[in-house]
Amino acid sequence: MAKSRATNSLNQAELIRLMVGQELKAALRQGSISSGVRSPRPVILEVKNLASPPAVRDVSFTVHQGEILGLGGLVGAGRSETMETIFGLRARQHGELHLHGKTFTPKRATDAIRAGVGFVAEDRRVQGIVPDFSVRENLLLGHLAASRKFGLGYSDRKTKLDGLLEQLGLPAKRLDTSLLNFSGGMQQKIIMARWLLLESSLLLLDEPTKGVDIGTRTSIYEMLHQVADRGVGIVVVSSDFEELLQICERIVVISDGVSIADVPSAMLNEEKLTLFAAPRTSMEQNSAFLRDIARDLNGAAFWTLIDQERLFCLYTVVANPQADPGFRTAETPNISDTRIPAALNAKTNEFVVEPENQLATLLLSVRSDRGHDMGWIGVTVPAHATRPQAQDVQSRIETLVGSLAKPH
Amino acid sequence: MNSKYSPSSKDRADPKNEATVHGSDRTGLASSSAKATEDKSEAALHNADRSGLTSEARSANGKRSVTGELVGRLEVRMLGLALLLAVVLTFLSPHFLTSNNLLNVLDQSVVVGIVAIGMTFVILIGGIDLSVGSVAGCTGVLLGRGLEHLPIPFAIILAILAGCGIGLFSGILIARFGLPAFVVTLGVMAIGRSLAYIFSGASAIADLPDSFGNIVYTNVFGIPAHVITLLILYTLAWGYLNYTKGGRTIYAIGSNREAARTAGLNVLTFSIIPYIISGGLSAVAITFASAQVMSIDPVAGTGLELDAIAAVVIGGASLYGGRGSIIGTLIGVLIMVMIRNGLNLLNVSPFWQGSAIGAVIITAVLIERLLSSRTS
Repeated sequence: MAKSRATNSLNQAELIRLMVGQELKAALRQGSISSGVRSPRPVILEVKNLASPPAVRDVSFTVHQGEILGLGGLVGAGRSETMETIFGLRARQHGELHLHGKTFTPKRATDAIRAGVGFVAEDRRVQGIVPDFSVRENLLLGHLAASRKFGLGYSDRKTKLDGLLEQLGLPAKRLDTSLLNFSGGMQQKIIMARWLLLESSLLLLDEPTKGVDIGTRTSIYEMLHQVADRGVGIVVVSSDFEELLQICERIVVISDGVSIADVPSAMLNEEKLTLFAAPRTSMEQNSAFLRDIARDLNGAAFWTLIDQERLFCLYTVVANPQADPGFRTAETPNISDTRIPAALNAKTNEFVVEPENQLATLLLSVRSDRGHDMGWIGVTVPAHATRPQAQDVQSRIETLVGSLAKPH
Repeated sequence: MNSKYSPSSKDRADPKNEATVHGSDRTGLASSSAKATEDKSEAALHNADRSGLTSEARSANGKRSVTGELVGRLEVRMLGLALLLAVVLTFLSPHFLTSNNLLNVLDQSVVVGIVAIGMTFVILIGGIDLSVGSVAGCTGVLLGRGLEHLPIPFAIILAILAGCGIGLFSGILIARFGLPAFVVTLGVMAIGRSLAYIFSGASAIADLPDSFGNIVYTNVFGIPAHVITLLILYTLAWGYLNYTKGGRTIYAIGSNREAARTAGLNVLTFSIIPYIISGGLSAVAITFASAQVMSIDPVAGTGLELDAIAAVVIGGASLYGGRGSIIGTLIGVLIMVMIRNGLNLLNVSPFWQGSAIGAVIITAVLIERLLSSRTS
């Protein structure tokens, strides 16, 4: 035992450091993530309006070479299903996929594998490990699927396999033992290595650290970064938003089967990501509220997060085109690119009139009953319209927030 | 050298016997389900073994001696049992270790041995094929009808294709439509037997061409052709299961179907193929059985499914799939046939054979269970 400490004197990060003996974040490339702007790299995968009902309804995103992209969202939002559709395990109803610039239509997983895509499913025991196969055959399972030979062709991969063992830290003599004897983390690495063996150019990883002890997670992160540094594009699904924000450069937020935002991780924190990820069905009440208020005022209403110079718009309703604030639902424009920069910068509880277009905007902070910051609700009315009382709008918002606390 | 799957001509000549045949068929069905329940619980034991074996391997930490490795293999233990049985029979009966009797053992292994190959494929993917006996009966009758009009090779190919077709039918219902293998093949079992009666007019086909018997009684280097066929089929099956993509896919499906699917293996196709093989090999088996007695009867093959399943289980396969080997199955077949042969040589009433084989199945699995739990 390293130390005995009163529980209340510890926080999570400290506890992990005591357990693991190192900062988890040390393994992460802070520099590349925080910069947010990177030189343009070739696109590996482009997903356009992908739909595979009922789980996947309209998902679009791109993955670049050497990039780790996160799919954020709640369980059941359609993230895993999106991956399965890209991997050919689910029928695609419409939408387009482009892999390395070419149209990609995987009808079954083998098509995706041969095109250079690898997929590691969420449940290692159920969807990953073949328990009666040795470590070697588990490693070569992807090869077996990709192979067009009648025979095994295992020897074709011998050189690559030997190299991989070193990278995995796996002694060669354990290749022919049961995979079940290894730790969860090593099992996970071995299953990922199925695709490294094939030199896949795109990895789809569903909850790669699920059931992996906290120390081994670091080595999985390291492995992901090494793989990405070699130019492989990686898409990660994780319900641990902290982890997702740490390892990914960008997050595509998926909610109710729809990709609703594409945001650099550096601009997000767990609370904001959670707010984005809220299912659309539970947003319905909020959007109805915004619709009512926009109609009553004959203007526009919106709910947004404001991060220094940038907006993360959760929802916008424009009832009167003259009052258009210049951004739409799920857009993330710079404040200066909107039609109401003065109001967004001022953040007062009063109507602010834009010098350029005379739009009048009232911006009110939204806090949950427990005091969590939930962004801002704004109403915009045209230049010469009658403006409502700020208190009236405020009280309507408070009613809304009060009702949010109730279970749906 | 009558095969037990082809009733004697005396049975066939007795018209009243049909009712008895029906009756025994029904009891056959009943006992088949009882037997299957028994097999399931056995499989549960086997599955429990899985964890036992794992910890066994763990304790050895990957460094196992060659002897340990060999003894650890179920087939090797079963081979030991087979040899022990042979030695005991050699001491008990002077007739056992004669080349004539050994050929007799092999001769009697051919029919169940061939069917057991297909059954191994099916059990490896976690399925079961209860229809092999009646597919044999039905395709046998087709063969007999075919021999009336076609040259022998064409008639045989026709029968094998029919067997494959029936297997394809079951396989699609099971793999594509997700119906339980037990139920589908139970249904096909009933249909197959009924068609056998219809196509044959419920009577035996005895006027087979004389040269048809050559497929059994031609000797190559002193070994009958059907025994050589059996060995060739086992070699092919062994090579296929261990050294081809399809073979490993079959193991992977049985071990973890979902993982095989997620890894991109063609689960649907390779879940159907074992049933096709099983159906086709049932037809091959009945071809040899018919040539052995030079007669084809609609009741032929009754009970064959139980012997085949028993051989696979004695050979160490798990009814949950993913574990088992074709060599184990061959040993399982030999153990069963040697028990029957030995009891015959010792003049024990044939009614004891079922008890003896049942006891061996249960004992073999029990010993396996005890060995695994002791090492863990």
